[in-house]
Amino acid sequence: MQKNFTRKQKLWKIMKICAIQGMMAVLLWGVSIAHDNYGQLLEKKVTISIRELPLEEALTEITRLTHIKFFYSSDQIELSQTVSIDVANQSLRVTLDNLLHPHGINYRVFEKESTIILRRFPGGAPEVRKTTDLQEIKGTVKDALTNQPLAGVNVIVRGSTNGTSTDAEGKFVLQADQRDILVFSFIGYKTQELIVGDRSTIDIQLQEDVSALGEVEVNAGYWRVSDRQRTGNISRVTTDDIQGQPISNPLAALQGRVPGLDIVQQTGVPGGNYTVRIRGQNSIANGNDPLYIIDGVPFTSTTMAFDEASQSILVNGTSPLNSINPSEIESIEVLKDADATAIYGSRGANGVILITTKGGKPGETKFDIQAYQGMGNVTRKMPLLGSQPYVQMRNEAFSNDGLVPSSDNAPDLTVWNTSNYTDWQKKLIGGTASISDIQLSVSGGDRLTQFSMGTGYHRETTVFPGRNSDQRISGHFSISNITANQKLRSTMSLKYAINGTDLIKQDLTSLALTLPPNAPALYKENSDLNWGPEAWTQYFPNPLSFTRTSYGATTKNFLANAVESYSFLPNLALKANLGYSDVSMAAITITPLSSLAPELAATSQNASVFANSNFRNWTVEPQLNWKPVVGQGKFDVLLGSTFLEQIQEGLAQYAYGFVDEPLMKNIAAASSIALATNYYSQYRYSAAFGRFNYALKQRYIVNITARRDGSSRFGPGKQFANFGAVGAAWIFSEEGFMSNLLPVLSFGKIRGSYGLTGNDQIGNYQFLDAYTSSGAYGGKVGLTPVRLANSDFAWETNRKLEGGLELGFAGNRILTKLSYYQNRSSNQLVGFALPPTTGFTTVQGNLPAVIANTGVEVEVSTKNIARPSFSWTTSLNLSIPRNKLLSFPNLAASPAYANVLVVGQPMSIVKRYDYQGVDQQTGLYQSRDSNDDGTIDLQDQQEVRFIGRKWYGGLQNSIDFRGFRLDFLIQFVNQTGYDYVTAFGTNPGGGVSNQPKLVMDRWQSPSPASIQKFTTTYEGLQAYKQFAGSTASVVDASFARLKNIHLSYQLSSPVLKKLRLLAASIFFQGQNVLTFSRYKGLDPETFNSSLPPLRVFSTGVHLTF
Amino acid sequence: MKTICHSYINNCLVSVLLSLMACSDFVEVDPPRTDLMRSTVFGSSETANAAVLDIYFQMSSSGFASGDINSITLLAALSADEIVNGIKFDPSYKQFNDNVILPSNIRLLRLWTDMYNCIYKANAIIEGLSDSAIDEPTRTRLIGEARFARALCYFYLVNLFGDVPMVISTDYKENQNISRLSADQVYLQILSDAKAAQEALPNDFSASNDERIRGNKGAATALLSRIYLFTGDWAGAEMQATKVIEDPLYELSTLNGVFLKNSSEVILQLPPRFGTVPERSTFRSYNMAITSRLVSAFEAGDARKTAWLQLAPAGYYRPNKYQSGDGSSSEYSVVIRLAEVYLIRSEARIRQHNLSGALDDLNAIRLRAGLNTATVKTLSLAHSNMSAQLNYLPSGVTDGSTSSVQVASIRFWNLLSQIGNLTTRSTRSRQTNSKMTLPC
Repeated sequence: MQKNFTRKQKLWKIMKICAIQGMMAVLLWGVSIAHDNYGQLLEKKVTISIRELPLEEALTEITRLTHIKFFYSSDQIELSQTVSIDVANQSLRVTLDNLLHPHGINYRVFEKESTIILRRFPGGAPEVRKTTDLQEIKGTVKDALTNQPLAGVNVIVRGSTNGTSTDAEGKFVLQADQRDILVFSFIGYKTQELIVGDRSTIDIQLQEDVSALGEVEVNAGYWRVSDRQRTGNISRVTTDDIQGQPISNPLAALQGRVPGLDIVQQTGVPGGNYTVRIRGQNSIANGNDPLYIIDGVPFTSTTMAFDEASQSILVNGTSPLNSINPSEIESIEVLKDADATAIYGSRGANGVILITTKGGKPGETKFDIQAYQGMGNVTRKMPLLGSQPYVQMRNEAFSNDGLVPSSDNAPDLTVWNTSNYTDWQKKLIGGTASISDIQLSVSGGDRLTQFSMGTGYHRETTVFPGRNSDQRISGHFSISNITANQKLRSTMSLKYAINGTDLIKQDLTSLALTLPPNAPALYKENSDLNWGPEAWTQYFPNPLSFTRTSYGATTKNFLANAVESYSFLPNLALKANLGYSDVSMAAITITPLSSLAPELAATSQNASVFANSNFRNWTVEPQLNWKPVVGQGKFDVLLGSTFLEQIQEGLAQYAYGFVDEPLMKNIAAASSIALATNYYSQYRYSAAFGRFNYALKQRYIVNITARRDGSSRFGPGKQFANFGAVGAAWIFSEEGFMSNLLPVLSFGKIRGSYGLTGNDQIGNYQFLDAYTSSGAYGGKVGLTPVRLANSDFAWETNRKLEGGLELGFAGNRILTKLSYYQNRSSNQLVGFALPPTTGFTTVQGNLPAVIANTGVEVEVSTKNIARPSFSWTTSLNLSIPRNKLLSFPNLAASPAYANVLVVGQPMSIVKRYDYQGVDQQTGLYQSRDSNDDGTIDLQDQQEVRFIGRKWYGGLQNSIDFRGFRLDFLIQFVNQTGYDYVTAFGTNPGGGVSNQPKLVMDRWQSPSPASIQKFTTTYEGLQAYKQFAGSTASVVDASFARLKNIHLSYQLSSPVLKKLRLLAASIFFQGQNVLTFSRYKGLDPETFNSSLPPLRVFSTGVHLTF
Repeated sequence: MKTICHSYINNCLVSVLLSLMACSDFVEVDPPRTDLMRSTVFGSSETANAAVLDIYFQMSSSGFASGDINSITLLAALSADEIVNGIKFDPSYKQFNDNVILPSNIRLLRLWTDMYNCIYKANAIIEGLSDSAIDEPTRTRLIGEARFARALCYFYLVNLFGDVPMVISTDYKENQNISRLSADQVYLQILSDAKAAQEALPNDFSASNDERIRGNKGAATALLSRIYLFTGDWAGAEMQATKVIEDPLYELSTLNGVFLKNSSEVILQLPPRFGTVPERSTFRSYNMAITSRLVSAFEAGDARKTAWLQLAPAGYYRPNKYQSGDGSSSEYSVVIRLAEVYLIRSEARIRQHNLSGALDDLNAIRLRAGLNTATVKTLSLAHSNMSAQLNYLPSGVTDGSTSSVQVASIRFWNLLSQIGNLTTRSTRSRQTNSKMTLPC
């Protein structure tokens, strides 16, 4: 530690000369030396003749001749001293030795940057080395962690060109003096220096250096690869990014951070689901979810919840990833192109998301505690009419129609008090959610055994009235060991989480928007719910009645995995990955009579829904890994196979007739029970896979992956198929000529890949000619045919082409990554349209429809300021996806898709009426009769509009200043979406329903207006419904959001020492802090249908001791 | 130790290398335990019986015969102006009300799809049992039931749509190209199915625990009499109707007993799926009102008006034949009952100029309703009033029988034209005029 510190100090001096070049030099220190061709620069031949000139001029002249730059500190090197040199066609080494050594100046060469740094010899001019002092030094270099010998490590005598590199067994031999300092350097490891002393044998261990730029290792699934050398497209989000966010679902942490990854939160209700798409929609009818793999074990992407139980509160059930504690995550890798995903074969078409959880690290046992408390509110509200304008609107509607409001058609005007006012958005979704989170963990270990264990608790309440919440208790334990002979390595990790959801049955957002502002009081004076003819009735249910309903669910998630690896030879290892996961969910939805209007309760029963589901999964993956080094080339060969079984089962039941409301969660207390859903499915999957990777001189890399897959989802003869990809990369900045050609370029890589992946995300057993139970008839249960059987269908296939360019400038202070992709998915598995006369309307089959997803992704990261006490980094990502249906044979005849898809258009289009504005005579919205048949009906919906994201991205800034750290992420999305009208079922004035403020700009007389007149007529409603289904309802819904802000202060070391802490910080964080959008509806992410995402602020502490 | 280790490792290595080859047996999974393969279903009488039960289950739960919001009971009554649609803004119902039904109408599509799905099931049973090894009496009976169901479906299809594709196998590759066949041709198949069912089915209800919930010989015979009537074979219609009327198993019940479980008047009825008969829910929750024309057509003193209709709080009359909403399943949804058979025979006798015989049958129904006996004279004088009652009675919407009101309306016109001697409009032309378009 101490030593590193002094080294840094020295480097700091150099940086003073020129921070950028200095950094470049430091950062690429390892890189330049690691190359065995060092000295190349010094072999350049020069002819120079200088007499009695200042040193500065001599150096300028050499720079002119050789394009080599010199750096020096003016307080070390006196530039004005006069020097002489006269050489002809002599090597630069000799030239510089002659020029500089006599003046006590040494130099160090940075090959790649064509840079030479000058400094004084510590003790004045060097003594002329006597060769007799040299002795032979032998030794072995090993990896500090694995104790594996390291081949190719550079060993040089500091300040000289004397050096060698280790052989395949990590051994080296060289001549050195006792006073010499040996420098051991190897790419991906920390450089070490040792004084030779009187030793003749030096055995040394090198520490891996993950922080060195370009040497970030990414998880590619079955192997790890340095970010620098990867051939595929893999994006990475690490614990640093995840931990700064007050979120409960790991998916929320990825929003705006990964190019090509489009994540949309579907509701602000805790536990709600997300839509996740990697590079667009690939499948017409089947799963478009990526494959999730947690520590090597596949995880379910589909919700565990049943629609019967959760639909009205959670839009699409719960997110299965809710039961993964974000604090336990070390990194999330997103695999996108064929090179990265083809190893997953038939499951890789929609991309892969790999989640790696934290393990222990060698070192003293650390105890970590982090806690935060926060509060959340909805991000946006809609400006709605107050009571007075509302009443005006309703009265005007009746007078426009020549009608008189009555208690039948207008209770809001005649029965309710028109001067009442309630802000329903405030009342129903305006609450403050409380968010609490605490995480404890202990980790540590020695060289052989490391462990990590921890537990966490997270609780979120809702913004609805009532005391509902969603909470998670989780725990994890992981241990890894390597035997003393360094041959057998074992890792095991266990994770368990219990998620408890206790919510009301229904999302109140829609009610909050539509309830008239003068609706009656919620409670009577005696605090009973207010019901009655002059108050709430079954037609206008008291919104608080929903707080008497409940949706409760308990999800338990157990994940276990183990990896055993045995090295027969230093470069040959046999490995087995074993995994098991078990997720189960038990949900109960209750609708008691007390939640119903009395008149409805009189004829109803207490009703509950009981839903239980379970997902089990085991996987075994034996693998053989061989990593020979031949000359300057490194091979990495992997052979393996997968056996996997998944079982999903579920049972949902309706139960009625409970006598007592408190017993409604006990199914035994029901007087009648009916089956809602019952399913059981088994999925088996087996594959053999292989990878061949060859890296020559660390700059020419080729990666070939292949997989032969078998899936039980397909019929006999169709179960197996082959997938594979080729990827290649050329790190052209490693080429000698590049440093001369473009010295400012510090890193340059071109990569490309092409390959084939598949999608088997159809249900199980789809090929079977099966019968299943339908229901009881006369006391016996019937058997019904499930489908028309076609056993001839097979995988959807996705061909992915990708090209990428990665450039680093100014010592990688500016890093850019550019990728272009072109994916074509075909062989689409769809329900082929059949005439209903065949008994069914569809049969599953492969349709040669083609969907293209092309796009460009850009990442730029810059280190704006890089000083020890002040640093500022910025990173930007931008994705521009394009989705297009290229072909769909016989689309017009397909009942399911004829009205939904258009060839040549994206998949996410809608067909709309052609909106013509407000008719100046009738005052009603008007759409065009597109087919000129005299009436406006569904056939007139011919205008195609795109709904979706045109481009999106994020801008992240991190600033460190004297212990303070500020991170913030701005997410920006350019998209089209549904306008506010989709939130309101009735036209302004047409029904007992509130409207946005903007409707006051309505048509009143034959003069232009953008809102139709207030009316209660059927025609008015029809015109409004057509308006809602017209081009006018598709609007720009682009937004920019300050997605995340995190400010922390890290206590300084002296304070920490006093407190006996290793680290301590306090932090403040915010999520969805600000939203900028011209969108008129509720929220541009969830649109109008469900609770908007919450704006969360939290503060907390993080202590390590 | 070392050697043990070595051999152990070697063994491991070999076995792992072998396992690297993914094996194909592994990915062959058993059928799900919630499912059975078709071949298995028809391999035992228990499961084959369950496949037949599924047809009735479909009829009772959401099908064309259920009385629910997508059933013939409602849709045809809307078309026949017996019911007005309270949900005036639902265009799919409005189209039935206005008799301008577009091919895109979703309820039309559901009706069409539902009936052909039922036909598929029947075809699968007939195919599956053709070479099945289950015991012969059961096999014969189950095939008979499937053919009865198929005949019933095609009967309604032909009457609603005219010429329709006739599908009598399960092979979708072949069936997807089948085009419409003339109604006369389809009737040949209907007739052959109904006759075969009459032959094969048991006389009693022993197959369904003496509940009247599965097609038996009586049901097939009643259907056969209806088919003969619709195809103009008056003698055949009368003969088959007589068989049912003379069967001691069936007799007219009191008005309050007609729609009860195991009513003596019932020939085929369906137990409700969720306690309440779907038809009751339909008319209670969708504000469907009986038209004033139909209500005012009741003669004074007609006990059916009080027994089977109800004045809803909102001031309109609605069907009230099914009154129990308590989930006790004391009422079953009626598909075919004896009163219709009396009227079939009555019409058949009129066609054969046996007016006194016709009046006997008609008066059996009138007397039960507390009305005086009709004569030829009163009939012709009061034909406009009679129209409603007759319509209402034999197979109308409030009847709860599956015979469509549109079909009923057709019969009504036929009956009137005979009785009142007003018109010479033929059955066929009227039927052709009232056909619905095929859904798309």
